[in-house]
Amino acid sequence: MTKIMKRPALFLLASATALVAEDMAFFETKIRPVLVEKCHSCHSAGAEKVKGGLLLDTREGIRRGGDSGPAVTPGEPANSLLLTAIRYQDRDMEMPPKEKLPASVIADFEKWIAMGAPDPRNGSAAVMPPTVDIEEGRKHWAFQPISNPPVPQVKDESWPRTDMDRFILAALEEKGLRPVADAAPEVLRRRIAFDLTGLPPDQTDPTDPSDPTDPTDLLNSPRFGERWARHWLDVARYAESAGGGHNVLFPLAFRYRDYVIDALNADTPYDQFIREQLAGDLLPARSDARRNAQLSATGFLCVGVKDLRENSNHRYRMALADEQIDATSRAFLGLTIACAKCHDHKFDPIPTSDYYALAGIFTSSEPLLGARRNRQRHPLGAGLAPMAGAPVVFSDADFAQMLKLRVDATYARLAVRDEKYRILIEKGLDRKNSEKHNAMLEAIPSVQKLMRVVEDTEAACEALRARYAAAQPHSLMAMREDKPEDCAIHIRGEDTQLGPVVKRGFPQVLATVETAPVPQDQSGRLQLAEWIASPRHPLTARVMVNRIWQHLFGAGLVETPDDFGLTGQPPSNPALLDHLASRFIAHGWSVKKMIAEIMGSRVYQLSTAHDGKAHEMDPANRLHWRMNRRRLGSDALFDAVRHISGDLALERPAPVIPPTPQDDRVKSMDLKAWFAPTARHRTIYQPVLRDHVPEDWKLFDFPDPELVTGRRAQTTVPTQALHLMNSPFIAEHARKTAALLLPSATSAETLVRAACERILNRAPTPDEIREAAAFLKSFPANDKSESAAALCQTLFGSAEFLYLY
Amino acid sequence: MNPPPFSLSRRRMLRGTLSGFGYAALAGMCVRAATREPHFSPKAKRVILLYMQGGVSHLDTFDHKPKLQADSGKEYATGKGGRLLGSPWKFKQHGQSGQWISELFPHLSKRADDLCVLTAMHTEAQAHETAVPMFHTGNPLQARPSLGAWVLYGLGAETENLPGFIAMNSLRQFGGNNHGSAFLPASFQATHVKPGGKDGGGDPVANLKAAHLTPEQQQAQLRFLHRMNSRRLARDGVNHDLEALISSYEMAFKMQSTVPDLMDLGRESEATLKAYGIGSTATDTFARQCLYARKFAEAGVRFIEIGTGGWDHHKDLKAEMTRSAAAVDQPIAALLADLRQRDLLRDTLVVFAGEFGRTPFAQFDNGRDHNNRAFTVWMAGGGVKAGHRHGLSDDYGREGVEGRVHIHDLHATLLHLLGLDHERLTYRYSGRDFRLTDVKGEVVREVLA
Repeated sequence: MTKIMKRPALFLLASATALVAEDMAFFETKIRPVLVEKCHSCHSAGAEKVKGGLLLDTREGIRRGGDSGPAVTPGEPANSLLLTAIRYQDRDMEMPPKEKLPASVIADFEKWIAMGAPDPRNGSAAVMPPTVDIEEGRKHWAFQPISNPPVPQVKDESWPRTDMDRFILAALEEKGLRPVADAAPEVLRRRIAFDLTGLPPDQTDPTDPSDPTDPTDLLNSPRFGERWARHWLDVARYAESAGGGHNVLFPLAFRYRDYVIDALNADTPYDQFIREQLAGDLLPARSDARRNAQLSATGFLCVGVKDLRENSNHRYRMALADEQIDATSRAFLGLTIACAKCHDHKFDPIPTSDYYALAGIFTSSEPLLGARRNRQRHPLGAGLAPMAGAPVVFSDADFAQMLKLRVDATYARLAVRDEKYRILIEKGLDRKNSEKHNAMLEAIPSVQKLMRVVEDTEAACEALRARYAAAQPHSLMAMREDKPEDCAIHIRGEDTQLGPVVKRGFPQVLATVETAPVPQDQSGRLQLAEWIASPRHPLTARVMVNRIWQHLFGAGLVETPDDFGLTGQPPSNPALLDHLASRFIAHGWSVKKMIAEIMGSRVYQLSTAHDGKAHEMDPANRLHWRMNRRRLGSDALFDAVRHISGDLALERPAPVIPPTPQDDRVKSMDLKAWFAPTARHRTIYQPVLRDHVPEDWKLFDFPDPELVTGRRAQTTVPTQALHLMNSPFIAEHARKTAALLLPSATSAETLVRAACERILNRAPTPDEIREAAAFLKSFPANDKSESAAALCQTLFGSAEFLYLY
Repeated sequence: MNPPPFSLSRRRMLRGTLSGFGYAALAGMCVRAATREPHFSPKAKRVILLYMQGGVSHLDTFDHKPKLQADSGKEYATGKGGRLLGSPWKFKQHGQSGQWISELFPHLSKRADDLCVLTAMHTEAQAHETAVPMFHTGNPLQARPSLGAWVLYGLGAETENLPGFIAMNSLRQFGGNNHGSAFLPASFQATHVKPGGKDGGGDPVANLKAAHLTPEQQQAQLRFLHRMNSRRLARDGVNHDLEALISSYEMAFKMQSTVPDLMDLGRESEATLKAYGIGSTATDTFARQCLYARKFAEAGVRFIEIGTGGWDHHKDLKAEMTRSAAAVDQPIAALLADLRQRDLLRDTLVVFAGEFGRTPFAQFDNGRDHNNRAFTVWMAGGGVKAGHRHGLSDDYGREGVEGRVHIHDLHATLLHLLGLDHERLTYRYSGRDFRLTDVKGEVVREVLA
């Protein structure tokens, strides 16, 4: 021990002159071989990839350390991270990662550091280049400004109808390919109806002279917003409960859903749609209704997954910000910025400092979720945002008081219990059976006094809860500003290891977009919204037109709609993507105009026919030599079946706000009263609860509302077939459909015709009529409704119904 | 190595059958992920995973720590929470191999010579939410295909009338990937089967029976539907999605009879039911799963996962763990015996695991916290060394000191036993070749028979 204590002094001496030979020998025999053998593969200039910015192959490197700080502090084993790592004291930093060093080797390192870490190695450690090269990163296609490329020349001038057709045809001609034939009118009619409304087309009236492929009426139908809102809600990871371990309801989240539907129906310009969702609370509003819509819009930042069990306010706030950064960056920018929370982004030019520049913006804001955190007195994020002109308001102070009383009541109940126990023990009675002695106990004044506290507290709490319930219909789930403050880098994402504070701002690689700096006295959400919604932003318009394209063609020009970064797929037709993006901006960011323009193109109106040569060269149809066949998603499937059977209620249901009981976790609530009123409405109006998404929806690939989902999975599994064959849902609606058709069916043939028209939106072929008639005959002649229902069910199960051709 | 999901080019066959199609013909056309050649000769053909969700305490079951018993009640060295908690259960050596097993597993102890015990498992993930996906997919956070999906992708299915990957336990609260296929084709995901009994009632598979049609009517309906879909397929030329749809109806049709047949316990002898513990309150739920697992294994299902929860014994270890162990001990022992008796243990790999282990020091005085630095997994059958023990944890079982095996290593080893090289079992997605083991994993050669 004494020897070790003397060593620091020795070290000073040694460093001034030369290393003592004994120390040298210790380093050379005990330390260096281990460093070389166990560490250098990741922590030396010769490493293929240096990990953690740490170099252990020079004295300078080992002392300067890496991302987490100095690895070795001479003479101070307690302050040497290297020891923490090799002792496996920190679960996130266990080195060498594969297998712990033997105890004797660890003891050698302890000894060596205590000795003053004598180290004869000279040479300066290379300064680790920053892992992110911003300038180089800017060269990535998606970070380049949107160009307005010239419309290409094509050989076959007779084919293109619009400019976008020319972009498509030019690319096809380059490969020596031709587009297939156009789709038949009835196929196109069904395609357009589902694409715009998520429902089949209305029954045709042969005398109707209007063009069956004109989308104008459907674009103006309220059903349009319901269909396209569902697309956006997938991206917005919309759900009406918090998820996580304390899955409570978000009873006011539906206002955000309705906002999205209304905004799409009103063709709110997309740039405005962005501003409202990120900073609607900070925008001017010309009326109370507008203000409330804009407040509801910020529900985008509120509806994500939350861990309401988190006790630390700081961690809770950082987790909120993290989720918001992830949703915002994926949804609007197609970037995975949240990957840069713990380390510089592994693939994209986004350093950790960029992440914390954004984090500061979100931690300077507060979501009002209308959902309590578990056993928390602190109201952060829990309150209700009052509607403009609300007659009843539940203030922050009310909320804090309600939370306090809730906890107080628990303690008061415990105090009663403890007092009872105390008395029982005093009387020498068994406290396990305190119930038995309740009458006696509750006659004792000290118990009575404490019970009155419980009653008073519970009554006060109940009164507040009643006021809370009364205020809910006049409240919103929305964002508001909080104390503006820059955020410190959290080294490796940990709240205990803070690095430098970063000024609030936007990712450097996109600094080419002119940006108003974030004012000191604001969160910066408004500036963030303006920055994203800028027509000069290279990502925003591209990401959105790609989403629109994907919904109309089944795959985007960029196949990874939520990742335009370096790991994403490059666009199949970059010039077309830019052409669309610049037209989108030029047409005032109108989603409806963009859709109408695409639908008017010849490429959208192609058939799904096969072409041997094209299929061989481009099996995935990236060049659009034909239309892709697309499976109906769960919502379109269930809505369409219900609509065809005449069962679908098309109007928007009146809002239902479920009660807020003491225990408001989804799993302990009976929610029948919440689900029942919307059961016959379009699926978009039915509640979406995290961890409780209906089995049927999941079976048909409804996305998990945990994450931004720009593109749903599309599966084909036997359990889906079983649903289509046997589920009570399909049987019921087949029966209802048959009941609609039978009164006017005069023969098997007219029945088959009517069923085919209603379900597949086309006339049956003679073969089909013959086969269907034969099938109907296999049922008892006296029971027409059974056979007709079986016929309708068959059509529901057919590929032609399940797919858009 | 991305194969088309189905082995046959079925289009021509379907076209050829358009006229006069009967269900006999339909039933003869198998619907399955094609059997595929392994990379090398396999020892195991299928896997039964016994998943003990919550994290089994290795210290009270298979990892005997005399020093922990001796030092029980002493302050734990790091000062991190609590005092050492000796196991309330006695350990004994069992079988010829002398495996140490605690008295919590009296039945399983009799199968000690079947077991290959890994006592220095470790994982990074420390919470259930990350550790369960880590165990099942090799990734704690991002959506990756599950172990079962990779196995099915690598080897295909042997069954013509049952899915190749069946799960009877629900891990949904730990994310949707534990039995999923993520970016692998959807046909590789698990089909969930409910084992029935007290806690798993309802149909084994949703919508398995048609309430509104007689079997004859449904058959006529499916014939008619098949004609419509086949005609459409003929018009479409190439349409793999529609081929998959047609296949899914075929499989669904067969499952209507095969699943209830297979799950009809009336066909099992009274002795078998009793051996597994079906009918006894303590064991019924898991006993059913074990018996079904054997039946599915016998039918050729490639990957079967069964399991129980409730192993998260933060407190009241003594009472809670007694219950947890009693629920699985007899059923698992019966499963091993049954597999051996039917000569299925030879090529069926049985794996018993949870997401992590537990701490040697106490939590809430009488429970144990999560321990990701050391835990125990055991395997049996399918080419592993029987009656063997690999790896060593420290004197208290806090962390592994020798023969540490990471989840990735375990995955590599499982694939190896199935004849698959974990470095060659790749799937190209999003411009990258993905593996179950990411860029890690080493086969634990010491456990190979």
